[in-house]
Amino acid sequence: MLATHTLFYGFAAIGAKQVAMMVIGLVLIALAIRKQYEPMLLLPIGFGAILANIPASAAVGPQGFLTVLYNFGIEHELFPILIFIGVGAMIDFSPLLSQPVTLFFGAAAQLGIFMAMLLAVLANYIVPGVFDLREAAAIGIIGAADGPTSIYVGRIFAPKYLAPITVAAYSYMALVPIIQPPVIRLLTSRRERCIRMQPVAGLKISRRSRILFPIIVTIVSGLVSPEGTALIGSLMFGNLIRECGVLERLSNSAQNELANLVTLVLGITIGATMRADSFLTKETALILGIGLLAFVFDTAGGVLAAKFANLFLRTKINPMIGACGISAFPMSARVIQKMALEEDDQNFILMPAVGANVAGQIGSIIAGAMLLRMLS
Amino acid sequence: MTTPEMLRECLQTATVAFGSVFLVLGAFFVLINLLNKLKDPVSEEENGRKL
Repeated sequence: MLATHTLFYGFAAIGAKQVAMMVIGLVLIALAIRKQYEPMLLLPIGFGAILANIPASAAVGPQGFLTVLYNFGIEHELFPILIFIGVGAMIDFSPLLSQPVTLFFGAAAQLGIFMAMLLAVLANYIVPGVFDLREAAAIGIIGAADGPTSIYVGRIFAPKYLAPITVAAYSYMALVPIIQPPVIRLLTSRRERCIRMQPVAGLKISRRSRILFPIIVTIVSGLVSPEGTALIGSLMFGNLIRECGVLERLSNSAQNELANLVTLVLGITIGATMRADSFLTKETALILGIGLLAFVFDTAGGVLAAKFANLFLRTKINPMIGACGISAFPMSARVIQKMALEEDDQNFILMPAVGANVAGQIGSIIAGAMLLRMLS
Repeated sequence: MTTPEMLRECLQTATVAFGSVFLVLGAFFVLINLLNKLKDPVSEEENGRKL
């Protein structure tokens, strides 16, 4: 009798909510494998969700390895910082340095952060007392389209909503090829989408510039908003390792081993925070809905900024470039290049698109840092 | 804090933060234009070739 009870304890203890969470985990795994949507993240997140929802799971108990990883990597914010060192080592800022005007799209496309924050506050009219201002800011940061920044700000402002915020940020980043094109088509004419962009003639980015850029950006950003120094500093440190030209081994390690290892444990740790009791709530539904709108507003903000700039420019910019100001690097640039080729098979706008994309990476960190500064 | 108060503070924070993003990236725009004027030092070998 005792043996039977022991053997079937898990089956007796599991509830409908745990089963639902396991199904969500399976859906994430299926999206990762079948659709290849951000598989490096969605697969570990999905598996983490399954592990966390097995009744009395030793993986997430007080001594569970996922709890240890959470305390080490998320509670102390090490994972987003380490990821950024890897991302910094992967980013080539040359497209941005050769077309600095794309910086403005990196700023405009942060519109979604602030619109989502506003929507989260307005949600209090529907569900009274649902989110306070700091939680609204953490939800807004989904619009940064940048996982590490979302985790960093979410952990400080809304630790209890960290799981839905992170899942929304990474899932919508994976869905950029589905979210962005309809918004861009709605806001631009075919003629605008066919605008060709010429590379800047004769401009060669010096090695000296590429080395000085990450150093100066870190100092300026740090002085403006010290709260964001860890994020921007780690990104720029990774980039300096890449650009200095004397640390090739470290640069390769940051781009490959470090980024891969941290991504591996980050995903499964985030997945393990998707516990049925805290995830299947009306707050999660609101966060997922507002997060989606944040990506829509980001795209619209970037495109409209480019259209506005065209009113004053002699050489017109393809307004689709503006949409790349969303951080989701390099997914967004790829999507925009594909859209450009669909309209005109000789229209190559990848370089300015990448420029706006890396500008968005910087812009999203600055936006997160400003919110931390103002609301901490 | 009541919802209207929160809304007011949210609008204020969002406006200042969004404006700051433009200002900081605007500063980087100026910085990049200055950096683009920098040239790499000419190596001795290249210098010799020019001479």
